[in-house]
Amino acid sequence: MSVRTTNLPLDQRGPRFLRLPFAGKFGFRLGIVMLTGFVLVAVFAPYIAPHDPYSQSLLARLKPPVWAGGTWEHPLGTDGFGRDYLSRLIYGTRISLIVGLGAAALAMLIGTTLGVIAGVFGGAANRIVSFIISIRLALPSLLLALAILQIAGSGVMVVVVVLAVTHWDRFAVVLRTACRQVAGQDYVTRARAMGASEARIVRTEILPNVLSHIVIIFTFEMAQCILAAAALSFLGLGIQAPEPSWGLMMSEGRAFLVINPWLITIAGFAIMLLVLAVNLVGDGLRDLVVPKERS
Amino acid sequence: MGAYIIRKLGEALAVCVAVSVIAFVLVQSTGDLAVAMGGLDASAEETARLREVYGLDQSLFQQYLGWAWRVLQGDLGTSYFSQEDVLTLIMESLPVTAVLAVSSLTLGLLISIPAGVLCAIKPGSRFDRVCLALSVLGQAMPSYWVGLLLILLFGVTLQVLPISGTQSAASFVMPAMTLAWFVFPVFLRLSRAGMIDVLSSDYIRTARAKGLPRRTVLVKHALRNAILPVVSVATVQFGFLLGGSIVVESVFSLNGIGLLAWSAIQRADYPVVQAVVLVVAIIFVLLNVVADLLNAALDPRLMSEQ
Repeated sequence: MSVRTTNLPLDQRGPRFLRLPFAGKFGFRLGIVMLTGFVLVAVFAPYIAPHDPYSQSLLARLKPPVWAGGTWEHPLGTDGFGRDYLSRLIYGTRISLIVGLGAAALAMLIGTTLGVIAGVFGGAANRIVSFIISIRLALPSLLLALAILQIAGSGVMVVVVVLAVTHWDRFAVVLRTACRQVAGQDYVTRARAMGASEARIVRTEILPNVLSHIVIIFTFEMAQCILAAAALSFLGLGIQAPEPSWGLMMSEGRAFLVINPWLITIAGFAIMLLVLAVNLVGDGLRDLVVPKERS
Repeated sequence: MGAYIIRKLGEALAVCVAVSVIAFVLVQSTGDLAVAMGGLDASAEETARLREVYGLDQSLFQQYLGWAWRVLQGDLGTSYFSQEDVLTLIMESLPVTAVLAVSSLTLGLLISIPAGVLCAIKPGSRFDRVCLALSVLGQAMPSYWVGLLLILLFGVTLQVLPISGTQSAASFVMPAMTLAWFVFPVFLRLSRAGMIDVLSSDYIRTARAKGLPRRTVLVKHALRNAILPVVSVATVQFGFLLGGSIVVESVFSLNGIGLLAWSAIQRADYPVVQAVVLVVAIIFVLLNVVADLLNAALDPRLMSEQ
């Protein structure tokens, strides 16, 4: 097995604009700390949350956060049903992480498979995969995702599948290029001459050498999926009530925009922090792999 | 060049056909179309008549050909909800989205290109770091959240801008700002990275060595080359903005194609959804062809690539 880092452009469509800058070690560390924090909150949600995220109280509706005149009983206030906002936010971390991880993993499976096939076999296989990628890029993904959710019904699994189907293209595009380069290396030719099967070559020679690309795109797509999942919930066709999904919480908070603007402010802030954490980690990983490309 | 154009157009046509099949299947998968068209109170005879008129008793392939033929003649079907011609609905809402896309793209480029150039002149400066920090934040903020925060600031607190509708030019200010903020990170990085690359190249050093004024070197020599990738990405982004402004249009109740699609989805008005998917995809494909040809004209080496 020969593991080498490949200095490839990460994205044919524009190698630079996706690269997070300030990606010194500080950003990487910050990202890891933040992401670890989110994971811990998600895992230990039942122990951290001060209240039941589903329990409603008409007497305690729309309480402001503690810094805006609220009490410590509900540190971030309550929503329109009198549910404790902090508890919903904590449980919402679970949904965001599960959907983000699940969708990115499935997208990785689809995109990597197509990218490896195109890159390793080239020729007709490459043309077919290119065609599929063109179709995927031409389709308006959010619109299509909404339509599918309306037809197939919303649930966590459907959301994950829909997001994966609309987010696999970058894996395919980058891995096709990466695999094409790796497949032309001497050690691949040598393995083939020694009688290794194509499946074995892909497993032992090619995949280990493109793994770093997969990991980096995974983090980027996970961030995109978290944002997209929140957008679907916000539009009312993603994760359904009464689940404490952050996008849904913003959608519910919209009705109280004037009375209690904190409802949408806090949930949006949570989404931003999580996406920021994932992006910072992804960027740090990219710097480890391709130090030269740091801007 | 001629062969290249024909190949690109052929690819684009194939993608359009594939997209049309997907749009067709999307609506087919929603159930019995004759029942959907007739409504709940249609009699069995009426439903049967609709089935015959629209050829719903034929094979799927024949139905697709019939539908595709009607689409080519400009007949995108009738809305289940309002019984209006779908093409008319799209033609009414497309200009709103186009105005929004053009204005937000212009605003985004007007801010991000100069900012990117200034960053590239002195990488690592305080200005550079602030711009990069903003672009990192911009990439992590959901666009509808930005829209809602703008509504809170300009609509509720300051009360200087209308928070919804399409009545006046002022209605477009906040949506355009929201989407401009959305495209800012992409263009800032692209123009910054492009400028940094170009500024370190030999011909810039030569131009400087010749004693040309700094401004001339920056604008005439450097920017002109650094901006090429920005132009092609902007073309593609324009396509994204046409199809991707659903959230922003719904936040600001802007009667564009995104809001049309979203309300159609909520009402299960699938002919409208199908038409919007098709129209947006075709516009996107055409813009991509334009971007490809533009790039090939600027850099003929691209024509020999697969």
